[in-house]
Amino acid sequence: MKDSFNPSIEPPKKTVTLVSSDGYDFEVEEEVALESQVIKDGFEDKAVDDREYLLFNVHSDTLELIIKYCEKHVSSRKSISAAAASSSSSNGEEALKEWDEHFISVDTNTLYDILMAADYLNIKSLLDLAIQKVADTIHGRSPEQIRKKFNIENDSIIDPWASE
Amino acid sequence: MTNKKLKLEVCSDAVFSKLPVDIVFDIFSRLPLETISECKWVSKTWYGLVLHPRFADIYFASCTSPPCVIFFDRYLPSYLIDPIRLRNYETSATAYDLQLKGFKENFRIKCGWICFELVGTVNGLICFSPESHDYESAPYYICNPITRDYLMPPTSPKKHIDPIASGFGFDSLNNEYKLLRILRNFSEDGNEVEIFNLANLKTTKDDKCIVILSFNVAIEDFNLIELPPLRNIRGRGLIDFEFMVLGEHLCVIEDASWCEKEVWMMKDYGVHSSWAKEYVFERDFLYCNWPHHPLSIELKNGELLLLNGDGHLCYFDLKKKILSPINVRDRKNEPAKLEKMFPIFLNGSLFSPKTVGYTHRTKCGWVCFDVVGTANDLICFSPENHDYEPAPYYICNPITRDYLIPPTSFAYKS
Repeated sequence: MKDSFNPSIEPPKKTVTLVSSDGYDFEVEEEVALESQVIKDGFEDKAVDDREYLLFNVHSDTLELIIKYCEKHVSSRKSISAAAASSSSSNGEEALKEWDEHFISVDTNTLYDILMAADYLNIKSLLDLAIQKVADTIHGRSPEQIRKKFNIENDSIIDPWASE
Repeated sequence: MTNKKLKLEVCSDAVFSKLPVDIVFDIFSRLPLETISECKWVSKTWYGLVLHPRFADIYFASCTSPPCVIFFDRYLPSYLIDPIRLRNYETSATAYDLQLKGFKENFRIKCGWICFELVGTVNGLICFSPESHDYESAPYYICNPITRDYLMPPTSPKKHIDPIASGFGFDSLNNEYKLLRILRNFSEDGNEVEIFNLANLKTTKDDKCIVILSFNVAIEDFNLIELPPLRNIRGRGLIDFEFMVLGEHLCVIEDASWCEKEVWMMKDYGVHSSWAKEYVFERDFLYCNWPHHPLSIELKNGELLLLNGDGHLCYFDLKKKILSPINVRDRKNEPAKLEKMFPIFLNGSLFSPKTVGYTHRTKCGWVCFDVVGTANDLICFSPENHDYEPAPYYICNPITRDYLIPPTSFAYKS
């Protein structure tokens, strides 16, 4: 999971270890981990040599995706601000949006896992992205199609308007 | 492998029941009202979530209550104009069919006609009453046109008495909706006011208020607001006028077809000297085929949504005086025929009449339709046109039951 981006940063990268619910270790850069508000909040309290976080609610499959998302966002933020500093035109924001779009185009269960993890780790932008995705999925679908999409059992009271 | 698959299936089935309620509400609040309203038929869980009073509150806050226009017809299907389009000031909108359950059955009288009157709207709810000369006295009908949820409060023990006026208001202090009927009481030289408290669904109190002409007998409840010096009061006697709320100010619009329409605004609520003539509309500017109906609603950007002289739905910029017509099409994408139908303007919401008394938020809404309007939770009543005893106009607060009786000099002029 080591990140190879941004060789321009001089000091050796500080890393933290994230441990998934099924016991896998993920070593990530500090700034990537700090995308999570929860980790950020607890960061100051931790000793420097004890950078390990046990994420009991996040499965390794999901954690991998989340880290991928955070890394992408950290790196593209840097490239966007670098582009702005050198006043060269850049479509970094557009590209990131596209990347997000692609990233969140996953099946319902994965989306659910991402949603829960983003909520648990309090990653605002990711939570927003996932919520919007669910809303878009619902939008324009009939109740029957929604049931199918989310595999919801039809225990509904009969829609009195459908028959009229 | 099988293990994993099994886990996924279970998870999928319960996606929504497992999600924290706040996230579900966040998801729902990103959807247009029409879609949410459909969503409640997905499952029992969804039904409960969509109609959850807290969600109504969240949605109301997040979407800044879209303007809602309904075109009503007694016999043909009615239309609800897509509130989200109107909220975004789009110049084309879809007219959705609006069927209110039990509505026609409730107001169908023996000869087969459907007779009802609009009492008023508040917080996205509309209140209808039976027509005043309907001696069968059907119950009132309160509904939310967006969720199509409805409630019929129990009929009054005095239902046989024709009310002079009805009012529908929201009490923001106690979070209660109240329905008022003012009844003429011939034996006691005064009028009786019945107040239904919808939260308790029972008649809470019968108030007797004496509305005699020249002296102030403010017993406890109604406040009186003196009318501005409208031209037709100045000259020709009492004529119809409409009430509306513009920028939280109570406004009165003359409803006379032969002259231009003056819009008077009460800048300082309750202070008679603060009435000021704010705008003058041309003669055929507004569509006035439905006397006593609110004619327009104010949008968030300060523009008005109204029917122009030809009966077309338009945005109107008050300052620049620019009308922008809205192209309304039905679901088959044909131009909707709305000309003969009567319009109701209100701010849409997800509040249910059945959970009345829950919310904290209040909106100035039209209240006393047949008679007058409301502002700041006060209800304003006037005698009916053909009421030959020129009773004074008066305004009440349904919460505190404060009455104010007007100086009657101008009323006498008629």
